[in-house]
Amino acid sequence: MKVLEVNEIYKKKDKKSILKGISFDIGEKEVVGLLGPNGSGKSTTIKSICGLYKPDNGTVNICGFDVKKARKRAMENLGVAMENPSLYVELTGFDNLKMFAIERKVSKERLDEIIELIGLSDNIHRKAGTYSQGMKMRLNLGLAIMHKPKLIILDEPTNGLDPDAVFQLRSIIYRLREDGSSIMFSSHQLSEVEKIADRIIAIDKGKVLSQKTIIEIKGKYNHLEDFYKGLYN
Amino acid sequence: MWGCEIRLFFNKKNIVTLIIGMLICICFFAMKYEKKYSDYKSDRLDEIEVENRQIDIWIDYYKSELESNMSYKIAKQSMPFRMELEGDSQEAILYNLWKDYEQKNMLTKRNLQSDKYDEAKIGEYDIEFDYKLGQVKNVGSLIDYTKLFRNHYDDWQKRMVLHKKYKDENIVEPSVKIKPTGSYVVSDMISGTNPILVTVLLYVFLINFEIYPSEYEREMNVQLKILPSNTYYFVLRRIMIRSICSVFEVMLCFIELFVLGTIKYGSGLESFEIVKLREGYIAVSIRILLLKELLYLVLLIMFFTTLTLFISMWQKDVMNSFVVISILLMCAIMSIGEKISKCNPFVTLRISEMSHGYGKIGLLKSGGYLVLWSVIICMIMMLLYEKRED
Repeated sequence: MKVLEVNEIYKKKDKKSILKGISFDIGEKEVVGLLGPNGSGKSTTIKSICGLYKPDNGTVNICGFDVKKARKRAMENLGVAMENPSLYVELTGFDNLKMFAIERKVSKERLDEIIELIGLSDNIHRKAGTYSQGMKMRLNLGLAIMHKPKLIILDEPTNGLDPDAVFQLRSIIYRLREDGSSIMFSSHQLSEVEKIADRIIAIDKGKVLSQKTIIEIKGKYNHLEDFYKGLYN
Repeated sequence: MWGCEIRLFFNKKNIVTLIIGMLICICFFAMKYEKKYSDYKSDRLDEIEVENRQIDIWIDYYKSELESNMSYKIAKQSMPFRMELEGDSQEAILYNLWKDYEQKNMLTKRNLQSDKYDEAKIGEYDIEFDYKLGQVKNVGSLIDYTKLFRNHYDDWQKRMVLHKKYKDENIVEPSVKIKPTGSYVVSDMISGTNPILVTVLLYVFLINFEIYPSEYEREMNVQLKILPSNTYYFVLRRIMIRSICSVFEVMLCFIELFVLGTIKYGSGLESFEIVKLREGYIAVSIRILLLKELLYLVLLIMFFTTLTLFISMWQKDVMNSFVVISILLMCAIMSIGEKISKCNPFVTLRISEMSHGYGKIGLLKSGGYLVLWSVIICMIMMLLYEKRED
């Protein structure tokens, strides 16, 4: 079953075409990297998948549920961590998690498991405003994964992270895939994409330029960076 | 999520704002109400001086009117100090009343200047004189102009209703109306003739304006919108919680004032206030009036909280929200003096008129309008939150 199906989505904003027929899909337990330069339409694509933008044309299905017509069922299978950690800085890390855990009907045991997974056990009762960037990112990730969604979208998850935090993120993503989730993440860190992703989707000017597995890319190029340069230059 | 929403409301900023608000209330109590009461003696003495000059003029006037009348000359021989004629003329009645006014002021002045100043006596003199004023049968513009009725004839009518009510209820009428009892202070503060009401609305804005802009800034709206729950629910819950919490904070300040006034000067809950109805004036217990005013204030706070949340959601930015609210507040202040319009929610700032039934709309209708406006704004917010692409 396809966890995510994006079918010919078009989107205009302020009379400017941002997306021009984006189509791709993601299978089960797949990690997909979304590549593209700034202004290529990555964020718009992600927001259209999340239902934050309503595409002018086309459909988005998450686990077979149309985001527009069966929004509730689609959102039950989706977890998102945007580039800027979405946190209430006035609340503790625990309160931030609990707030969404109640809405998502996540059990206390699962909540404890998540706190352990994201490595914030010692700091969970501190105000989120006092967290470092890495801690905020991990808490943000916790919000996205607490309900065991089939599809997890991470927008620039490695931004502002030190190497240790990047390693931790990588191991969390592997763990999530083992647990049955598919992950789509956008990143400018090509070395990380190369290490983590099974497949990449490259977009530019609102169109999909290429969809290839990492194995296919490495078969032809030494590194993902060479592929990227060849594609965009 | 209700608990978290409440915790979001009671953040550091709002707690500090509450503490500052309560301190301001203490200062206001001391610097306005207590000072006014402590200056009562001197202010009243100054008033008496001004009144006495007027009294002298009118005594001389009516005396000269009477002296030109032959009957007066005959009566004066038999009763040199009082003008009592058979079928007293209006001039005679008025001359005697001005003399009584002069006498009253003399007694009041003596009382105020004595070491053992008796507050109750002032009230007694005023009430006694008010009853005497009932002799005036025809109140023309000249008599009303003279302020014989200690302002206008209308004011005397209100006072008489009050005197009779206290007498019927066998309660001692308060002598000094500006005594800062608990109920007087609270009632005056929320009467709408007091700028403190606009301050309350500004306070409500300050404790609510930042929640949506900060959510948009941190992209919290993304996390909220991808929840499987209905987004209408989030908006409604926030409005309800913030309205209740805003009411709580404002009420705390008023409770503080009530307690301060009660501890020092008594609750004043046994007193009465005048309400104007279509058929005339009636005296109503201040308890009932306070309840109505407070209920109205609650509705006003809820309306203004909803409005603040709407503006901050619409603008998504703190400064823009502040500018829009400031413009609305200025319109509100300017509309206080305007003719009442059913479509203008800001005339509802005239709480005293609404609760006293002076306004054309009255409490029930204006409260209803507030609820209606709040519901409309809430529905617009729900639609905006649902439909807008962020």
